[in-house]
Amino acid sequence: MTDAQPQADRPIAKPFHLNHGLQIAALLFWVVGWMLVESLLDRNGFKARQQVAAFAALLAGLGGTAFLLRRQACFQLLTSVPFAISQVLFMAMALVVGTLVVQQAGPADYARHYGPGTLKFLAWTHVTDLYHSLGFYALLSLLALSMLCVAWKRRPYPAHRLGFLLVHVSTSLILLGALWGKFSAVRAYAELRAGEPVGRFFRTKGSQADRSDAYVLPGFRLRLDRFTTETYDPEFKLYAFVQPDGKGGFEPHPKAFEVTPGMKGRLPLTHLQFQVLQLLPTALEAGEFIDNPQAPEEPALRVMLGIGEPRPVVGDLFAHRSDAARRDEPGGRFAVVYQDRWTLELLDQLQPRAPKSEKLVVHSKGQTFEHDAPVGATWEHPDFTLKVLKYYPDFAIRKDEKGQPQAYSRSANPLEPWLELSFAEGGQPARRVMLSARNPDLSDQLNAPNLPQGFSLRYQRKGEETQARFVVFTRTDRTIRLVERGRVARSEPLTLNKPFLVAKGLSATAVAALEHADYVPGFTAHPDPKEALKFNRPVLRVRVWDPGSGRAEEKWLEAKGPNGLPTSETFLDRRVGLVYQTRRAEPKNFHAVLVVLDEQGQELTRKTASMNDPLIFRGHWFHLSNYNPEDPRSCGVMVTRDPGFWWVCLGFGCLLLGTAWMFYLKPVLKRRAAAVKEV
Amino acid sequence: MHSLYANFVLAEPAFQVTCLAYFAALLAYAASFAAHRLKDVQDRIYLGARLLFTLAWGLNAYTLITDGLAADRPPFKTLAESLVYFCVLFGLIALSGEWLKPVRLRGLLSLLILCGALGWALGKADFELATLPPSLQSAWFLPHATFYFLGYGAFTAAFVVGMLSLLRQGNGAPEPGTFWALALGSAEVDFETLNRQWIRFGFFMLACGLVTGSLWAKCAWGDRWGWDPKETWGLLNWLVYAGVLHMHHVPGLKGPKAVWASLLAWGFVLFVFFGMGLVPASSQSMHRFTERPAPGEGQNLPGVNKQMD
Repeated sequence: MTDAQPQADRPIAKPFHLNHGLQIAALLFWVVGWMLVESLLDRNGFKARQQVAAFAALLAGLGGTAFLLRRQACFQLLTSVPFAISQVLFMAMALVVGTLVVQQAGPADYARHYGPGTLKFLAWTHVTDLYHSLGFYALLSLLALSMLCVAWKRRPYPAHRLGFLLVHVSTSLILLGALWGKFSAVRAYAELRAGEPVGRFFRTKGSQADRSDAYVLPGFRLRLDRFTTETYDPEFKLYAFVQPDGKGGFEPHPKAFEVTPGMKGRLPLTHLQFQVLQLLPTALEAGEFIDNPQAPEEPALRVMLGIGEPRPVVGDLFAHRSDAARRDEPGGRFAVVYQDRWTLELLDQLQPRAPKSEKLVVHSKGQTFEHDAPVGATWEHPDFTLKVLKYYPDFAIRKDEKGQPQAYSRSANPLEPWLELSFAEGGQPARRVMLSARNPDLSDQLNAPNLPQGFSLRYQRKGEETQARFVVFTRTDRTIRLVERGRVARSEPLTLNKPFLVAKGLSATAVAALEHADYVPGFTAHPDPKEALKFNRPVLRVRVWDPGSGRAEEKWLEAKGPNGLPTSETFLDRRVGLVYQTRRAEPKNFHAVLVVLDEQGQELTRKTASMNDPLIFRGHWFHLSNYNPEDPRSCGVMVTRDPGFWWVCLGFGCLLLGTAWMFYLKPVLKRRAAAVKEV
Repeated sequence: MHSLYANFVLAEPAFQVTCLAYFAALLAYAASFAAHRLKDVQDRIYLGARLLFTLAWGLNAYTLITDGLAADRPPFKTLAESLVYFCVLFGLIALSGEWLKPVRLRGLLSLLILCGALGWALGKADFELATLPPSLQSAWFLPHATFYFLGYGAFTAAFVVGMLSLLRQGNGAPEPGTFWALALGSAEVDFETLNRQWIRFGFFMLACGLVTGSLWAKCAWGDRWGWDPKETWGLLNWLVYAGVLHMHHVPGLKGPKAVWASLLAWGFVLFVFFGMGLVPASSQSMHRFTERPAPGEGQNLPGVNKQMD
């Protein structure tokens, strides 16, 4: 070999249809060109559909011109396999960009994440909505055109090459369907309320709240008859968190145990053992307060009320807790109070007072409304109308002359105040509603059939004191006082277990005084199996012990403790944490009975639609979209109509059949053809 | 490492045994190389390794089925579950190859991948989840996910045989009895062809996965395609492997270059499993794996209008 290489040995540049580098550069140029076009169209106020129309026209013009001028070269390029590879890789890169940049976010989000300078660049390149940009459409169009050209070039198609044709035509069919959908598809939303037909939906443009563009169902309406949420059964498990050394924090993932009564086991990563001593699926609370010198100061007095019944009432009063320092006798004849010391302010409070305000309070759809409640008042709300008909200061029921139950007031004293109201909504006939100020749960129960689901109506009397007689225990001077109508009628020293006479047949006895009241939980199984079904309060008692040292601890675990949340307990110097809990009642599926009605209200069809099973009627697909857990009588429905869908399905069919044909049927057919040829 | 051990101790016994069996099979495969000087023993060790591999795969399948029955749903809602499912499908592909045309290094590499996947699953340890959201309560779920996992399993098999193909080219025709002759088996196994065949199978499965996913989305939400990051990456994988398949038809690109491309393409498969969390929009993906809620978490807020998913 000599230093001087002959001219003929120099590498010859590959022609364009075989040169990947040039092709990638050309594709980049192609996409950037369309970005510029899109920016120009944007600037001149072209809307999305107009832009696509302009794109199609420009593409047809450019393609047609190029094909007329350089037909052979264009065909060679579009049918070259290296160009196909370049296109596929370029498309893949575009998809990577599309997933790395958040799509269709607001300008403020982009500015915050990428800075104002980058935002300008992103906006100019349209990568913030890449999949709907003209540059991306241009890539897709080129790919579809290439595949059609390749399909044309490889004619004719004997049986074994039919797969090739199908695969290369499939992309164009899919894109054709998508394009058709782009121009004529409908996607609109409406919130349906049970029993109210809806014919007007609103096209969604990013937000379901946007109601600027209505879509009216052609010649029919949709009615929701019933909406139900199917939830998973609760599944209670015992979760064990361990910190083997007792110092470094609990292991992040707990071990879950299915619980059976009496089960024993070893806690993972430790030598500690545990045993389930008791499992009560429907427990009743049986805990009590004890005087625990280790606990913080919490003065409490256990009081027994003699009220003329065989079983006296026993309860705890807490001097430092405003919500637990008083207890009313069940018959309302007197109340007991426990306080630190006796003051004139206290005496002032312990006398009957009229309410400062009387209100009707409505809670509906997550909102609360209030209105005054004098007799004769009418409350006109956009969703309902309420009218106060009658006031019963001391409500009771008796039978009238015909033996029918009749409401009346036993006295003028507001001992049991109730209101009688009429309630109407949505043009429906008014219904009677009874409200109790003292016992709202009872009136909720009575009114449930007459009020919409999720609608709560209460009668509130604020600042009222109806009790006229109090027995006041004071801690510092250890005295009992009887206060009647704001005056001290009698007093005597507080002595444990000595009854204090309130009136004939009524007494109050302090049975225990606790300075450091500490609650010791305890539970018993509900004695009545039928009644127990109403409860769902699973608890278990667990013993954890260390076989090495012999230390053991026993504790109760509640799956639904205060506020419905599970209680957690730690054992043996926090080496183990146990929680007995259920998974939340997650929705399993949604079902809605949807009815299609004609203009006259005649039923055309009905279906129980669910999450993956829409109602399909005259090319319209009705999907369940969203729901309000607080209002089970409504749900959001999305309607879609996509005439291009069946073209897309045809493309899918061609793609799958063609691929299977090419890879697996073609070799068989070729072998068979060769065998026939040999014969 | 401590966390991995802790999760192993906390795991279900069937899963623990599966992990141990795969690891034992891996050690046995490694031993079958180390004993290449002992002609009488090496074949027996290799046979033992394949039997252990079969046992481990059986346990893997048992774990998957019992988990699915216990949860009353297809057991691939979480990343850990998905990796277990991937191991069953890829394990089946690798194991069938090991019994039909035994190649020790293929078995070893396959087991390394399987142990890595199970190790990752162990690190995630999110087997405790039990419920499917309403959108996944669909007959499409099982075929859609199975097509994808079969596709990814096939691409992984293509990756393994692709590596073997390059190793064989690098070592020429090894002398009988040498390490490479032992590792790569008889010359009649054409790794390059196997690489292409597995890519074809994976490509077809991915196409089936894309189509079933699109039809499912149409039924559930009315949109046949939503540019969700994960479905986009599914399409991206399909495109990349389409490019690799086309390389076999270009004179300058077929052969080792196409095999190299298939090895690089496997990186996209890995990204789908482990890298989706890096994509900014992944938190909005309908395909994201469910993660373990903290105990006591998850109480519904009243009055909030909820999107169905």
